[in-house]
Amino acid sequence: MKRVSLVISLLWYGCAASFSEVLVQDTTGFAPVDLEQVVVTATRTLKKLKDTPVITQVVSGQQIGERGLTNIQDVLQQEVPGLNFQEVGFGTSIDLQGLGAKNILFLVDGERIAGDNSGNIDYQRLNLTNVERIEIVKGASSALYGSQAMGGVINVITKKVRNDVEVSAGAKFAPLFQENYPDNDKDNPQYRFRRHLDKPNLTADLTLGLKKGVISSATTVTYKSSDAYQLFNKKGVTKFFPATGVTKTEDPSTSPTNISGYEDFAVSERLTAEIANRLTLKAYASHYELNKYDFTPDNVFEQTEDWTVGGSAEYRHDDRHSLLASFNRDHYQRYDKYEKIPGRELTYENNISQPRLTYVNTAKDGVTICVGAEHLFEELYGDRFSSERNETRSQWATTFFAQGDWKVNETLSVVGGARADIHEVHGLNVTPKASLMAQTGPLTLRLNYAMGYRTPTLKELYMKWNNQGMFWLIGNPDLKPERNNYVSLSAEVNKGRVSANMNAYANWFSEKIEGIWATGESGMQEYRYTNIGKNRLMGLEVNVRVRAARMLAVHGSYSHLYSSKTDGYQLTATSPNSATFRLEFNSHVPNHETVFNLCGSILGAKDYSVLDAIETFGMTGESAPTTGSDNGAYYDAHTDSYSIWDATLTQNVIKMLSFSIGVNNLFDYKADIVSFNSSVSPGRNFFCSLRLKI
Amino acid sequence: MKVKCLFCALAFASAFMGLTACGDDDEPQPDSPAEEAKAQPGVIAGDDGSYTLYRKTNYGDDWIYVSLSTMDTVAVSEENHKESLDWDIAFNRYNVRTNSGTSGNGKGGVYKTSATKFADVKDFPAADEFTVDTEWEITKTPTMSADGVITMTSSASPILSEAITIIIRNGPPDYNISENVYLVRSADGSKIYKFKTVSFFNAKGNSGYYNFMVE
Repeated sequence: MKRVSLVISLLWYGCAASFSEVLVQDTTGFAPVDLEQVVVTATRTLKKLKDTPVITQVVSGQQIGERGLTNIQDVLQQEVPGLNFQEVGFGTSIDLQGLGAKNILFLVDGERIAGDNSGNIDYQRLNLTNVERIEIVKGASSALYGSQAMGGVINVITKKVRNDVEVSAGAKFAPLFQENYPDNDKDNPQYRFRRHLDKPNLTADLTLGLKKGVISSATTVTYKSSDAYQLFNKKGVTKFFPATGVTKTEDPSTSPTNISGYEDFAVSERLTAEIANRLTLKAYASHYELNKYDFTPDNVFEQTEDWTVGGSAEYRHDDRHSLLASFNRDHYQRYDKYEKIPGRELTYENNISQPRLTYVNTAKDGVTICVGAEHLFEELYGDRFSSERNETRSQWATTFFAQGDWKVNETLSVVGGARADIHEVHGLNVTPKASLMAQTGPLTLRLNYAMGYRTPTLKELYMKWNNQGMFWLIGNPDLKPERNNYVSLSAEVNKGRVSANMNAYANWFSEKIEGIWATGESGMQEYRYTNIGKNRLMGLEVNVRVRAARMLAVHGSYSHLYSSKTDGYQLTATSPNSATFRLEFNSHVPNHETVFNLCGSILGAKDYSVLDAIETFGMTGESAPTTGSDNGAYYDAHTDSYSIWDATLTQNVIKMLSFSIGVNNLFDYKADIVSFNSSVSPGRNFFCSLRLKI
Repeated sequence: MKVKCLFCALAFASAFMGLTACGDDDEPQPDSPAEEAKAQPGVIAGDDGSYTLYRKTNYGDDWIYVSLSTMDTVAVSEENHKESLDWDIAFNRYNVRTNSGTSGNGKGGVYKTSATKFADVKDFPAADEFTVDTEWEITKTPTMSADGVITMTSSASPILSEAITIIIRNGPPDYNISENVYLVRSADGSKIYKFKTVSFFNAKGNSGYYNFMVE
């Protein structure tokens, strides 16, 4: 209660001080969105936000800092309605309006990220310390970015050095979510294991930017840690099996859902040389290490290491032609790290290498031509390709892409493009896209068509793995890429204090890669990957930003999703209705800004079907649809609506120093039944942070 | 039947959760031919003061007999283990025998204290408060077999065999380890050892290896 009083007092003090000062200073405009800011993700060329053919959502690094956010999950959940991260057995899994991780592409400065768990990248790797902005483009973008960009692209753009010396140092601290071992005896053989579960909730970072002559350097060091916690069900699960008419209510599970703790360390270096305003050379390298501490006292924990290196050279000839050559390599490894003895065992390795050549021509007024070629090579090492030993598999694809961007007149713009991939296994694959944009006064209309695709993963192609003698998982080298056709129509209005857009879309998926059960020659059940699935998603999104007063902005967004059923079963476990809300107060007092953010993420109730093999085997003669097991049956599942609210107050004490206090999950929401489809928030949690900028 | 299916479903779910192998209580085989060659009968002392058995036991009556005075294994067969007083304690998966009752002709037995640290156990109970071994159901065929779990009647300490209990939930099984200190009486009845279960894993994270402390 004392902490709440402190928050209110500080807020009141901040508001009062700021109001009194702002009466004499008014230098900020009223537009709720900076439409002149330059973005890159929608077209792969620099373009003003107002001119992008696809609506691009931008979250600035400054906003991230003011909201006290230190992980990408919280940023995206606060910004994108219907975007949710769930904790499943292997870790964190994303769901974006009915689409899973395999249909969403994450990039850092336009480059792919290695290492996955069922399509999910290691989200911990997306370091928010040195972020210029995050660009979110929904819809298919495979014509520009290739495989996996079927439902959206999220591009993290790192900060550039602008001054001779830039220093930023920060620390954030929060109490433990759950103190697992308050009395941890050093003599206990499990001492180290127990200590790992109670790592402090801490983030510390240091960024040093230097610029001398034509050369600039940005060095970033980050450390993060968090404790492990458990969530207990308050209610039992009620399962109704429509195929049999059987209803079963289970007692609340006494086994908790365990959320692992972690600590990670990252260091990165980016060097840039600007030569005669014609040539830009860049080189970067980063190292990342993550220790993930789970609740199993098995004397090992998961350790991840990653090395990323790359560089680029961009030559601009008379401002009309530019040629960019780049190379990126990401080397990601996962180990079983022994807790009590030295050593570790490599269990997973994923490497991607991607050279690229891009030529941009703006010789003719109003026309931008972008053509390029790239080569993607991927290697995967693990235990799923052979029952005998760990093996490495690889695949490559060479790609040519072209895009034309024609501003026909002041009102009309047209963008068209296509991509041709020549894949080692699947041969030629062509992916087109087209956009039409009309701007008149405050109104902008956008019509988009894009095709998307996803090449089968190496696991889906080559998996051959026996699960404890019970069944086989069998890959299929004859798989074809998944495809989708995406159409959207949007209207955007920017006038005075209001910026609003509405986007209606439809997304047809075909050749979806799914597993079907069959009995193998040995008589054992086999789960074989095949192209069988179809799915249709349609939706409507509304975003409204209003600057109610100079110091006050309100942002609300709503998403409605329709997802088709498969053989009568709703397999997409996504809320049809979801929304986000943000209220931002900014005093705009130079050097003494007070910023308050209240952010809400609201997920509506959802009904979906869950395959239950447990019940299945207890029943006779019931047959599940093709996506299930011969012996499986679906039950109707329901998740109630819920909302998570976060509040942060940031005060600039002096120009260089700011502090923040905040609370996550303000109303202490905890799911009654914790599942793969519910919130795994530990409940209300306070934090404070300090940042020094020179 | 249900147990089998529960295990199938959960194992299937875990199979999709990435490439990383999970810690499991599966086939009771050595981890690799190389490790099998290296595995020598014995009890491995760790730097943390705990001891780990050198191998997993098979399901069924496959027991590793240990002398608590020498902290080494004792070679006795299943046919003549009852007559031997050279062993004090024996392990089969998470089942534990003492040299007493239906398991042996010795004067062994177990008492479960309420203490969680050895230092907190200052007094020993009277001799008749120790529980001797009785008939005990152990797993003969594990869950991955077509017929599901098949148990068999064997002999073990009903107290100490519950120091580890299995919890089945999403992913691989979890092992709930008792925090209590147990008192184990030696085969000849002359000594009482403080015993505490630490985990069911060896130092490399392989399940099925009984890990314990003794004083």
